[in-house]
Amino acid sequence: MELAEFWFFAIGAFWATYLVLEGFDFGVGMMLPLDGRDEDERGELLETIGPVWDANEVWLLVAGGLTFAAFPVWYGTWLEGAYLALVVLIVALLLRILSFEWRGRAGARWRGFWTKVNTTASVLAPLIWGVALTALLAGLPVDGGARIDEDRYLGDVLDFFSPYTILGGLSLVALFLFHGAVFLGIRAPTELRGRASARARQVAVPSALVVIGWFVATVIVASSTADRPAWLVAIPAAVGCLAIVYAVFAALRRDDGKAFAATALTVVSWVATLFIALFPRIMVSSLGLDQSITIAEAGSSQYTLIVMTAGAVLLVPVIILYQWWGFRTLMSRLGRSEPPLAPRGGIASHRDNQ
Amino acid sequence: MEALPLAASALDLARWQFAGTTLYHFTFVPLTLGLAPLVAVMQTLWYRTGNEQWLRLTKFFGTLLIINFAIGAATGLLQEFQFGMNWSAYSAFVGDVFGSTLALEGLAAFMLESTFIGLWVFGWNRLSPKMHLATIWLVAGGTWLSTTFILMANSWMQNPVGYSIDPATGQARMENLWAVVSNPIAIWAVAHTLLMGLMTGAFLLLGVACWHILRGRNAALFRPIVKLALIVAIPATALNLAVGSGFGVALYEGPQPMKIAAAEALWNSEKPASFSIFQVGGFTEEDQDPSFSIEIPYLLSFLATNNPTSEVDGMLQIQDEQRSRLGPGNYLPNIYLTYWGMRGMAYIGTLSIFVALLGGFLYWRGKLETSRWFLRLGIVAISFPFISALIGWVFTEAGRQPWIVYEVMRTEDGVSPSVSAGEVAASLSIFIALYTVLAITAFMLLRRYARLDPPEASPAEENDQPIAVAGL
Repeated sequence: MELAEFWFFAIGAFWATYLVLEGFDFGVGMMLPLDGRDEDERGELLETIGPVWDANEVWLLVAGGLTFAAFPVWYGTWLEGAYLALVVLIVALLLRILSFEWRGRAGARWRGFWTKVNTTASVLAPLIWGVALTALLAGLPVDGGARIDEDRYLGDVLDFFSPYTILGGLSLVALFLFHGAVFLGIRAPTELRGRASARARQVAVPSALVVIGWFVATVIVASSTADRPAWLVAIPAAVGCLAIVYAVFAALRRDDGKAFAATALTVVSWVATLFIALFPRIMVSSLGLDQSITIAEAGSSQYTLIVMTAGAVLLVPVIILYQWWGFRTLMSRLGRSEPPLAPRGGIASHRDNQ
Repeated sequence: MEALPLAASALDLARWQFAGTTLYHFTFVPLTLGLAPLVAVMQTLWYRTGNEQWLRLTKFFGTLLIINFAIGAATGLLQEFQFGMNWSAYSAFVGDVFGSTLALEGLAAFMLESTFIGLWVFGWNRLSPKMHLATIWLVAGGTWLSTTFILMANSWMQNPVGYSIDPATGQARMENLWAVVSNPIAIWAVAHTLLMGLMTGAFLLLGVACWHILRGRNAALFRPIVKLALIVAIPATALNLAVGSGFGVALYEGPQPMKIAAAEALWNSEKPASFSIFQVGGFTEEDQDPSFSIEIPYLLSFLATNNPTSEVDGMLQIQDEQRSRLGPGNYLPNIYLTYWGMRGMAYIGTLSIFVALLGGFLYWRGKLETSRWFLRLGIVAISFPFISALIGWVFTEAGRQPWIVYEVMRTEDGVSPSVSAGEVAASLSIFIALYTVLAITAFMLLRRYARLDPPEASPAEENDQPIAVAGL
């Protein structure tokens, strides 16, 4: 395999990691009004992801940075094309970051406001990512043959939106709602946990239908660009469909742990299906298939790709080790029923001999 | 012809947006760079001595650190994506070199900071004291490493090295990683920025301590903070003057003599060249002679070349030389911004040295706490490093125009061709509104927490939960 092709799938793996991890954070955000009955309870729900959401979101920055490094043309053309949608996305993510930090600090009056901000951003972000990622396959007005000093994106942000790409956005929202609900079914404090489980059983079937709809649509769209066997795309799509069906049954059996593992696998399959469907292209052109931006053309130099490979091989295992250790340390259940502390006074109470 | 003014304004708006949001982001960065290691020092002192007051101070300043870190992280999100959004032609051109530096920053540094700040905030009762202490040092190390990578990327734009242009695609291709990493401009920039971060952190400590002592609150508790702040501030400010001066020589004798000539509004070569404290007029090609100025002889020669009598090239001569290499064009930056940017940075930086030395003197004589005027000055001086750093960035970035990659790509050629003026106007309005609200909220929060009494260290509270969803 060419190094550029390896990096195409490696970036896919980073996207998958990001979406699995931040996906349940988004799901928790969506669950705030569905599971918490008052602001104290919503605070407890947010606490389940309080220590880890930042470490989860870094995967987005790394995925973005790696896309820039390995496929500068993809990075530039994609982000430029989606300009206004990305402005909305960034504002949403930015406010969401602050909602974690300031919800507990900015005074009681503002708690409800920051909760709503968190929930809204948690819906908008996967919606826009779903649209933007699906649009890579659906086709955008790009001129893959353009030189560096020529226009490469020949449309505007509206070209990103079609029924299929909107289905892509909705499928991520639905999937993350389910993913987050079963996450809370494992992690939330006692009473909230039961309610989250019940909510997961409600959303399981509708969520699975939307997601399966996207998988089917993607196999159909991919087979229309008939330069590779359709079954290649159908395999990850089938894995994704089976995984979410399994997740539905697990949730209905009240086994949220298994359901969570299955929704995570569904997210991975979602990304795998998309990237395998794209291969060997990165951005399919709606102006004609031969104008698409391909992996071979958009990749960085061999030298840079080797540098990046060395960096990633060296650093990723270390990152996985310390993040895994951090998760284990911090995810011990916050099984407290008392309301969250008022934030006055400091970072944390401390007991030396613990 | 009709589209031309519109295209021009899309470029202008994109430049305003990038400059505004990046400066804004960089308001919070230096404080994190300084405060993270200083908080780590406080926690180390607690760990070593068992003295509870250091624990209280760690938590007190730690709260300010995480509020500040949150805004830095949030505004950093836009930074990661706006190269592609607004500067897609630039991105496609430089991704091979510039993008890989950013990507390595994410993998090596930002991942570290983000994971371990969460562990630090939430790990007080879940990690052993030694492990917990390690997390804050890893956060501090992560922020410094992050700065190093980012400045490597920026310095490549200032002084592109270790690359060639691919004739087939017109893209820059990295050829020598070591040249990119050991870029002399990057090494100066890293030293200058990290010292400035330490200044910012130390002045915040000093100012907050002054505020509390002035009100007779927690004076005993904050006394060692004054000492710690001065121990860091005095060498950091003095050293940074020297580093800044060396940086200037490296730019003049290296890639950017134009920036240094523009910083003096020096139109024609002089030997020896004098430095003007300030001047009125003389900032445009039509009006080259200032109507009034106060000058220090020999000083510019010294600042630009380390030798008080050597010749300093003027902008017009440098431009002639550039034209002979790069073809016809106007290669002058905005001279007004460059001249005053350099002075604003240097003057406020020098003022900071005086504040630090004065504080050191008063502390040594045991008069600091009774000198109410100094306590008031100390509070005001919190702003000095921030202002100095921001103006310094204006100087650095304005002074390299019209280039986005120095002498390789012009800023106007880097902009996203398909993003319209209307779209950038919309996003710029959104960011102005959002960032204004953010700034007010951030300032109020930081002020509120800086004015609280530090938390009691005794485990009076019976829960082991961190503050409500502190995040981060």
